[in-house]
Amino acid sequence: MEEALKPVEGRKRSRLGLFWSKLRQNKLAIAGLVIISFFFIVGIVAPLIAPHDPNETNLPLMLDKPSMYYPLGGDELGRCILSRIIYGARVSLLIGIIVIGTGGGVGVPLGLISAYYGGKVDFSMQRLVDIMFAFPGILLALMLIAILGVGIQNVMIAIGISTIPIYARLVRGSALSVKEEQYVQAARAIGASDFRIIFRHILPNCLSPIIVQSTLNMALAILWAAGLGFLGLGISPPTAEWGAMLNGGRLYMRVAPHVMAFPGLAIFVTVLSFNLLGDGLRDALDPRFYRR
Amino acid sequence: MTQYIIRRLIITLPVLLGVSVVVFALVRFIPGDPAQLLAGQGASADQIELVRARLGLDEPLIVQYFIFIGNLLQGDMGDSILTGLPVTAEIMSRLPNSLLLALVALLIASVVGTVAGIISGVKQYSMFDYSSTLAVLLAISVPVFWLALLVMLLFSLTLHWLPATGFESWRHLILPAFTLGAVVTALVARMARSSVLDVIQQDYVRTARAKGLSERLVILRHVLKNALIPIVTIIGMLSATLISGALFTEIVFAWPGIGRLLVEAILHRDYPVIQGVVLVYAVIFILVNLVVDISYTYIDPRIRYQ
Repeated sequence: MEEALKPVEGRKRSRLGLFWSKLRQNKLAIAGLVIISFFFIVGIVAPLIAPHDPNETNLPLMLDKPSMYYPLGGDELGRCILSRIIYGARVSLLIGIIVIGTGGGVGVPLGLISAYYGGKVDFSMQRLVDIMFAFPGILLALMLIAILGVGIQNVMIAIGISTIPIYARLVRGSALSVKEEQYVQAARAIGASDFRIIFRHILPNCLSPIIVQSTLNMALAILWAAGLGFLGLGISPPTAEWGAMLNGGRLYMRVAPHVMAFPGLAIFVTVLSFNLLGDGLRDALDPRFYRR
Repeated sequence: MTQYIIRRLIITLPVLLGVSVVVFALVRFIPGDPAQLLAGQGASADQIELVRARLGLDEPLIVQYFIFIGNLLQGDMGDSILTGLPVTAEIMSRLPNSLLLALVALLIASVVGTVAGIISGVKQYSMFDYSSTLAVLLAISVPVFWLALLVMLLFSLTLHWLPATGFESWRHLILPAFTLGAVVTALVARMARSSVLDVIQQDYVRTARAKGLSERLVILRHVLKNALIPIVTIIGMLSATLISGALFTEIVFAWPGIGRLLVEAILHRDYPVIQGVVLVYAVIFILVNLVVDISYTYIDPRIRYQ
């Protein structure tokens, strides 16, 4: 038994190796990966590396320019911008992860079931997805915030629900072709249950687009969460959140442009990194796709 | 093709109905009395009762829904809690401003994006291609609200070339339209480049070259004509970006559009306005996609025969 398994393990490793070597060739994707890893580490060790308490106000240093004491300057309440950006990384990445968990956790099974059962199940699920898609972009999240109210939990739920149709449509497309493969027919022939066929045979073969989409959705989630924060509909103050920081700084843009510049830069660099990595993963995971 | 259009219209109807159900349910999902929510926190008992009677809130849900649809078809979306004005009037006074901003941004994006994308595709791996690809990548990732602030800081507050906020003249339109257009331009350019690269590898382009046509004619007659088809299809997708982007652009530049109206309504819990604007956005989005899908059959004859 063990002998029989060895070559399969070998193939798995080589596929992973091939994927990594392809990804490694894409310098932009690697740059994205490095920056994302950096932000993750910064977020995790925030209390250790932040020079100040992110919520500690120091009115004499209000709108202070970058200095040795406040490396990125002080904000509209005299708080350390660098410390708030460091803690903000934690919030943004956490939102991204929860959003992917919510959107993927619901959208992926929806797409799989829709494709597998087809017929009326597929028709009704796809109309549901159509209705969700009818509220474009951030509009669905805004509508949910109007119902749920502001706050970190509600922001995560709202954006998470908004990404459900993206996953459902994507996975349905992949699963429709995978379910016609011979190994799925074989599994059905030997009497495997629908649950087993869907989650053991179809899902693993739809993982590539899901991984790529999740990376791009991280960018989307961070952008939307920051957008909601900017509109005053995101995380409640005084929690350090990049979008809210940007909103706080915009009133003082003329006298202290750095207050809105640095949080904006943090959002931009993080979103760009996830987009670069997402593009790189798509190239590396999909043999039919090559970079243009 | 008529069959295709009819089929497409039939698919649109349940979606429109679904959207109306979601918007109807919006207020019903919120804990508390819908009549109180729609009349506003400071409303008197009489005002609350008036709303209750007008919307039939004592009736079963299904009856309430039909009253909602009936009112909607008569253009009655209720009154704004904040201003007391009819929601329809509030939306209609701002909708043209939003449409103007979106159309100018789309025009910028279509012209600049298509030209840049086509040059990029035709001259693949050139300096222009690399710079354009980089610009596209940056524009797709930049938060539109940050870009709006940077643009305002540079052109308005520092250089004093253009007004920062307001709506008085065409000069007020330039910065918001440029900001909104930048992100959309990037999406068009990316699609145009990819489309040109697809077409340029087709057999008919090789044939055109083989029969001795000049490169200019090959590009103009064979590549461009076919490459433009997929670009049209992304206009539907772009309308989603335009709507999202317009929310932020209108807020930053104090542009009196329905995006700003929606955000202000959410901040003040003005539910009749939230319902109205969300509905208008969704209907516009559905109709734009419907028109794009139908126009696609005219542009690409292959669709008609499928």
